[in-house]
Amino acid sequence: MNILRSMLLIYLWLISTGYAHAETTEYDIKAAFIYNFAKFVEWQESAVEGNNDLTLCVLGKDPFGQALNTLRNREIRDRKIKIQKARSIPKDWACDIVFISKSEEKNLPAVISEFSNTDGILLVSDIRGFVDLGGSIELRISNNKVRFAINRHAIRQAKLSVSSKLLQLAEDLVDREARS
Amino acid sequence: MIRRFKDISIRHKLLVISGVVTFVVLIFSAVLLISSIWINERDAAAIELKGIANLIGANSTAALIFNDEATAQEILNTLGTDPDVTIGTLYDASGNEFSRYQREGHEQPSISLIGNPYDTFIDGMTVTTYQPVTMDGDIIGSILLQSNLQSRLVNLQNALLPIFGVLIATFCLAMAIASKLTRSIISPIKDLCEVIDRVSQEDDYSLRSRLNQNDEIGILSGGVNDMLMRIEERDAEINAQRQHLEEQVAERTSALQQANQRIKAELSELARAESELKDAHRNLELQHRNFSLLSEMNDRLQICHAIDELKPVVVHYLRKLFSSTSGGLFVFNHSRSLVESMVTWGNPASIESVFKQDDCWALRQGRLHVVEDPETGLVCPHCVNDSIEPYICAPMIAYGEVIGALHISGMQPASFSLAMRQVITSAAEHLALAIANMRLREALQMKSVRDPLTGLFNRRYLQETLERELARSNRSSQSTALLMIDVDHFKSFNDIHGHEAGDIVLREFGAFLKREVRAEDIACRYGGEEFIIILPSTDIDDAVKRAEQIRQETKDMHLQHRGNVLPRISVSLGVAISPEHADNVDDLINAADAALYTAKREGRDRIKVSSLDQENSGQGHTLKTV
Repeated sequence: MNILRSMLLIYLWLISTGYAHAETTEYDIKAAFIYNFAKFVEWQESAVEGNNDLTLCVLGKDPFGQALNTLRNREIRDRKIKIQKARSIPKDWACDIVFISKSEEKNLPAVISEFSNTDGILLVSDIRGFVDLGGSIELRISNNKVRFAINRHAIRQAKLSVSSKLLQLAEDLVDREARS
Repeated sequence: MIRRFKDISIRHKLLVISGVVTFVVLIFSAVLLISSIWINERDAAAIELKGIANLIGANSTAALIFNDEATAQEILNTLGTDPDVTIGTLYDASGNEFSRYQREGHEQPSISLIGNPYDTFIDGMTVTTYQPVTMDGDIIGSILLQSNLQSRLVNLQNALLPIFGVLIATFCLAMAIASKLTRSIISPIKDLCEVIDRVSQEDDYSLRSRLNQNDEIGILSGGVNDMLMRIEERDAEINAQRQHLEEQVAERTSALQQANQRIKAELSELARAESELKDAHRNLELQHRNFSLLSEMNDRLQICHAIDELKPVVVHYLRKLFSSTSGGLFVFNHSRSLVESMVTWGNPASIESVFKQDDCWALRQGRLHVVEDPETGLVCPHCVNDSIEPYICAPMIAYGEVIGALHISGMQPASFSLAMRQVITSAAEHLALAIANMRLREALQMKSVRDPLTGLFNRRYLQETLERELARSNRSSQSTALLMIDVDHFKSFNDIHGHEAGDIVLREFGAFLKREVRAEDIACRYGGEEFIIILPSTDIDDAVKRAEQIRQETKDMHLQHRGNVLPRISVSLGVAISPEHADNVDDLINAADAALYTAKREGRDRIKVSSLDQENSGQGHTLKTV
């Protein structure tokens, strides 16, 4: 744990200095962001009934490479992080966080509407205009830095609560239904 | 200061003590209170600052995690609402400064925080806290806050005024209470003091303190009352004793005065005795002097050889013994028929120089005769003058024989004392003895050197004298002549006319020789009818001339015995000269004797000179007939 923590600290330091290491890719940072989002988001009890794992699902082509492996089995508030990957949405998916890869950009509204009926799922993507389409959190690159925007309506729809601290950091806050 | 404190009244002492104690307590309480307030303020400030730090840290977690400096800055800027907070700094997990808030005019402390423990500390007027920022138990950064205590100090200062107001009020209240309480202690003491004052001023020991309380002052009051009572009793006792003492003193004083008078009387008695003793002593001294003088006189008298020598000694000492007097020594003459004056001194005109024994009462009675007053006394007939002074006559008695009288007149009446009479008696005795002795001595000497019949020197005297003469002439180289004379036919004269006639011849011839010789010549009876004449400083011719003269004049002598004319006598003479014929006594006498023998043999009535001389002594020599 200590080793992991120190690694993370070094990683965060790298972020703060704005310096991208040769081996630190954009998706390394995005993976860290997703991990940190989990810290500021609260799931309802029902969502995690009988299952105390925090499952991160990657839908579509996985852009993270090895980055997600560093998150595997880490704990947030006593919940072990599990990672699942799927090209299309399986029937038995029990996900807490779903990262929608850019590969799914074409049929994004269908994907979002697919998850909109299911509570307790935080939808994260780096597809441009994701929050406008009803996604929860959209990762962006601005001024050569990773930023994010939040759709509070989508989060409420998913019966999730987000820390105001996170909201405060959001580059862009959206509070409306997806544009049809 | 302490001295002054000792002298002030107890009430003031108590007030000062309670004042000082109250003041000290209040000041101590004030200091305690203020410092406790200040400590509380500081601690509160520290806790508050720590709380702020935690709050800011909690709010900054997301900003730190997502590396959002702008948001962090926004959060830190909220510190501006607290005027005490001067500095706020966020550090990331690596300890690098992430974001900072800085109030104007305050510098970021230049302390390195890496490795510093998370702590809150107060340094002077500054509170600093350094706290971690955690997220789900992970330290994701740290925060440093500093705040100033200035406003807290202002709070404290604002509190001071009411505190001191309360203090002063408390002090005044305490003093008022102390004053009230003190009075309750002091007033009985004052009462007691007043009683004591009155006692000492009015000298009235019947006064009593009326205090009735059971504390120490009550005991003191009781003690004072007790003491006053005892003093009263003792006073009464002392008064009684004093009265008794005064009586005793009076008694003793009178006894002392009597004793004093007795002592004075004894003293005067003593003084009188002393003066008497002094007189006696003086008299004794006088007596001693007198007897010393007498003794001295006696010594001098003893060494005198003749009566005539006695006289000046007697006068000298009698003048000394009886100064400023007149008098004289009167002695019987040889026949004891009259009393003649021997010596006198002073002015003895009033006494006859010759009188009879019966004219003097002293001589008649054989004891001292004193006439103190000539008018009434029994005056001796030998005192002739009308103006007779008081006098004393003392008989001079030696060996039971009255020798004469000592007469002293013109004396002071004091001289009639017993002592003086003793002196006079003693002087008379001494003088009598001296005169008697002198007379005896003269008689004795006469007997030893003189031939009683002729009155010429005897043979013994001749021997002595001749030796002296020879020695003297030897020294002076003068010759001494010796004439040996023999009465011719004396034996037959005796036989014819009797021894008495013979004695007459011898006596008359001796008297003739006495007349014949010069003063320096010595005429002796040598024995029987032999006579010797020594002629000092005479040569042979003169000696022969003198011998011839004697031979011739003898023939002219007229002798009588009982009316009968005795036949004429003749003498033969032998002459010898020293040193021509002999140089010693015996030889010279022998030489003269030999010459006399020759003259006899050749027919008597002639002169022969010794034929001997020194050169051929023992040889026959020429007889020379003139």
